Amino acid sequence: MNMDARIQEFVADLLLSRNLRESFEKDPQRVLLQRGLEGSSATHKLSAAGLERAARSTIRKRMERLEKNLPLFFRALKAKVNISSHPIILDIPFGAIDINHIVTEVAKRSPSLGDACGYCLTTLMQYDLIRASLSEAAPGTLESSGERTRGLTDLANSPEGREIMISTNARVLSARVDLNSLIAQIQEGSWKCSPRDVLAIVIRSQGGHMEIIQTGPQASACVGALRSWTPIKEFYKLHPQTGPAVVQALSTKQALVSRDPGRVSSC
Amino acid sequence: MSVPPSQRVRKFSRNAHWCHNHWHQWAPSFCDQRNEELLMSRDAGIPKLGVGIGYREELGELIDDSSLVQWIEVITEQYLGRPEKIQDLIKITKGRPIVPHGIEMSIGTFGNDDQWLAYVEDLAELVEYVNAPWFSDHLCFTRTSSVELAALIPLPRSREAADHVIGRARKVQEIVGRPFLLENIAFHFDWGSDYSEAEFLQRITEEADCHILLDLTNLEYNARNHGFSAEEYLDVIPLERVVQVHLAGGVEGNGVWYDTHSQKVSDRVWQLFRELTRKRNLPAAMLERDMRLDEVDEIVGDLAMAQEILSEA
Repeated sequence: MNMDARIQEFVADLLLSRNLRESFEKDPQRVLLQRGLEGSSATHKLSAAGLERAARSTIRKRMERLEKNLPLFFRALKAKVNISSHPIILDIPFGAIDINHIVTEVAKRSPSLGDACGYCLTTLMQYDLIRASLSEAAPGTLESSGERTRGLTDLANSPEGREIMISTNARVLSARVDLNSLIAQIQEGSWKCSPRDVLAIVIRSQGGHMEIIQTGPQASACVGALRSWTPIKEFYKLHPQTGPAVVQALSTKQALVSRDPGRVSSC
Repeated sequence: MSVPPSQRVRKFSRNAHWCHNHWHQWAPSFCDQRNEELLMSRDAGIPKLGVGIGYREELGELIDDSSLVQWIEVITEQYLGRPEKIQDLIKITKGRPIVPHGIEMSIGTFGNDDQWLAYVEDLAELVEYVNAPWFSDHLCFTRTSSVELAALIPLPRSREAADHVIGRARKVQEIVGRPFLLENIAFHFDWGSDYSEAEFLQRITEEADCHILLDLTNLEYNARNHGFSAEEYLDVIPLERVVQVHLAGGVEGNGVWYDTHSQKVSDRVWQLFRELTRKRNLPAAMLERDMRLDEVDEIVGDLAMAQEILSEA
């Protein structure tokens, strides 16, 4: 990698990490030394403050990317705060590949964004990210080998199919948000922060649809154990005691089921 | 939109009137003479578009007034691979020229060539579909080989970076087959550099044989923020390659000027625009406005002023 390419990577890291920017601001020579960029003529005028100004000066570009990549999350922000001047513009590196980092940053900033506990915003962001990843994935790539993807009709009609589908395609999205209701509120522009114990699982089905399965408080035993982005199969292994409550809730029709709340574009 | 890339490139190659290489052959002897410049402009297949505006849905009926708005600039990435949306746009513009202005070409990124080429291929389809007289993007990078930055970041103005951009700018023109304009960005940090910003732009556009979208507000704010003369900048860049200007108004915060596209165009930027039009018969000027879009009188005033200055020239 040539020097200019290495500098570009360094600039990207600075933009993506507030901690690194602060370290660089305090002691630029030490950080450059760590990166093997000491003495580079191309870095001696670089400043963290300048980078922050650069990001803020291209607000429109960042907004367009945000709206395109995270549409529901964008609508939620737009409804609550003047995002064009909010530090969130800098703190959500929404092109980054580190999803956990993005979600963590959003959770940290949520109280100032009209979401006291952060559940709504982080859930919307994860939902948008899942939609984006599904739209990019080739059909069937999330399925396990040899198993066809089963939709919710299968879930209702086939006890054995239920577990197969959940174990291969589901992701735990949120433990506290009624996702169907939240999406409806965002689309109507009436979002209010009102968390409650609801377990939401997003599932991919055939044809690029997304389906949301939600359980009510009856599955609250699972809530404390859930981690975002945990595949159900993994969750099941990690929490053999609480995991079955999810399936139990689904099988007894206590779960709320919404089909195709957000169709994934195939184009 | 379904023309295979290989066929499309061949088709453009046959369209000799879009090839602007001969402009460069004429430029040295005529660059200071307005009438001859006009001839050059015609020869190069670059039409005089007049005054345009960046399309924003919120502008509403203002867009419809073709005496105020003679052409429309759109954000390229909003239309790539979206023929239905393009059709809607074509209806809105009612036959007026559409110019795609990109924010994600990232011409300065090292690496990731396949992804970059795929983007340019998509861009070529859009340019062909809307029959754009030219297209533009920024002289910067917006991503590394692995990370999207969602910001226009200045390049180190090194010889190596210039060589890299020159190669890519040539490739863009080869694939798209219509005039390509590179825009000067507002930059908020600088590098230790082999070139000044003006020299960097000069070398790249001359060696790549491409054109310039000169953002006069960026130029003025860069001059203020970094302490150089905007007039001297204009003396260095090859004015005969300036095809379009961006005009906008921004704000100052803690001693730093930001091109926020939120205010009316300042007197100082109008002054630079007048100076430029005295030296160069400009094909097009465009008003960038992204905030306070309900201030219709202010926007109309800026469009009318741009029209007046272009007409005087």
